[in-house]
Amino acid sequence: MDEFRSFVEKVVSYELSPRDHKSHPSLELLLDGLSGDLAPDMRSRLAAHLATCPQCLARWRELKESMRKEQRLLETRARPVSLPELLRRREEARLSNKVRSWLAPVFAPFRQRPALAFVAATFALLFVILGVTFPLLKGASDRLSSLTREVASLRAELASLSQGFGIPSGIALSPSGEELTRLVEEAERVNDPWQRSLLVASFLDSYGIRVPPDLDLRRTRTYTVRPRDTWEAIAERELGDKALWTILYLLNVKEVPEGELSPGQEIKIPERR
Amino acid sequence: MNEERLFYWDKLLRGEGVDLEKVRAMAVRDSTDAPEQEKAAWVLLLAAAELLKTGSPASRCYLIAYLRYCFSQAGTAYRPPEFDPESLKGTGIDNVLGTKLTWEEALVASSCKSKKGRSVDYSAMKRTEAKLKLACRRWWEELFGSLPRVLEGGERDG
Repeated sequence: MDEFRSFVEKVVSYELSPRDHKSHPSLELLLDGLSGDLAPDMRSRLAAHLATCPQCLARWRELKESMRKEQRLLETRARPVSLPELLRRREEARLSNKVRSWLAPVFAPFRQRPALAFVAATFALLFVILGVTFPLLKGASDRLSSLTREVASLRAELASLSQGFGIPSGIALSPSGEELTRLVEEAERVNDPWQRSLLVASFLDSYGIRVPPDLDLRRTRTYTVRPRDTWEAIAERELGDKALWTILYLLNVKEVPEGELSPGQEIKIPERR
Repeated sequence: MNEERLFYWDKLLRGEGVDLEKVRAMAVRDSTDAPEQEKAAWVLLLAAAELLKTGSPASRCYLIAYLRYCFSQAGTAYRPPEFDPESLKGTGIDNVLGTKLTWEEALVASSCKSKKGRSVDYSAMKRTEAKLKLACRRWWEELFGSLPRVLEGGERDG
């Protein structure tokens, strides 16, 4: 039987002995063979050539090893992907390639001239900045103008109201009790009666309050406070103008320090001339 | 013609059937007045093709393993890194060449099943060789008449 084995070995060795080939398979054919894309007959023809062509066999093994390494690399990186995901990726890649092919002619000049690309990028950046900031600034400006208009209309309304009450526009409608107390304290420190009356008059004038000419502040009469009386109510009833409550308050600030009226209390009211 | 035979050898190593009549016709046409080596090559190819066509699944599997074993011993020794005989399943000459397979590896590379726990079946190699020898004798007698010394002796096919 060993003799027959030797017979077989001789035949195999004869069959596989290297030969001179007139033509060799192309790289494309070798790659197709390695990736299993060849038809069975073509695959066996290629194998038959490789078996007797040491150069092609060496090249084949080299390519095979490269492919094996690449495959190993891909396997370590890749993770199982579902079919829908695969289809989605494929579609994305197709679209991406299409967009790239559209954009290629646009970017080609920039690749050749980096300075041009820099200038274009600067303009693009400016365009983006303006595109973003301008609408923001315009919005703020619009809001500011609308607020300005609103303030103007409120001022106009206030002015009309002020005219109705005989009060100049742009000032407070009435002084507070604290302000009046402070005024009295200041007036007391002034010795000259003329200057004192000028101080009080200018203060009242700043609130648009004018002492009627027929009212004599030096002559006063006593008034007994009634239930539910207020400074304004007394001024309206006794002096004919509720805005003159300030004058009543100034005349009685010492007797009524806190400005709170109580029934039965007596206060001074200026006489009419 | 050598490349033509290798084309068929590749198919046999892959376990694919070949058209025996076509191979026989080629052998008849090209081996007339051919040297002994050519005649032997045709005879061995025809014998292997016939056994692969007519043998039982187990004997076909052992035959493929035997052919792979023989072809792997030829050529410069070459084993790719991290070589695994299982990677040779379904492959042809190009992958087997130079791998210097052992009989055990040849069995693995050809998906030959062995009974669980049983050691490597070396007798299968002998049986396959015997069958192949008988087939070679038959083809040689049919094509060329008188047998060469190497094929003489042994059991005659009944």
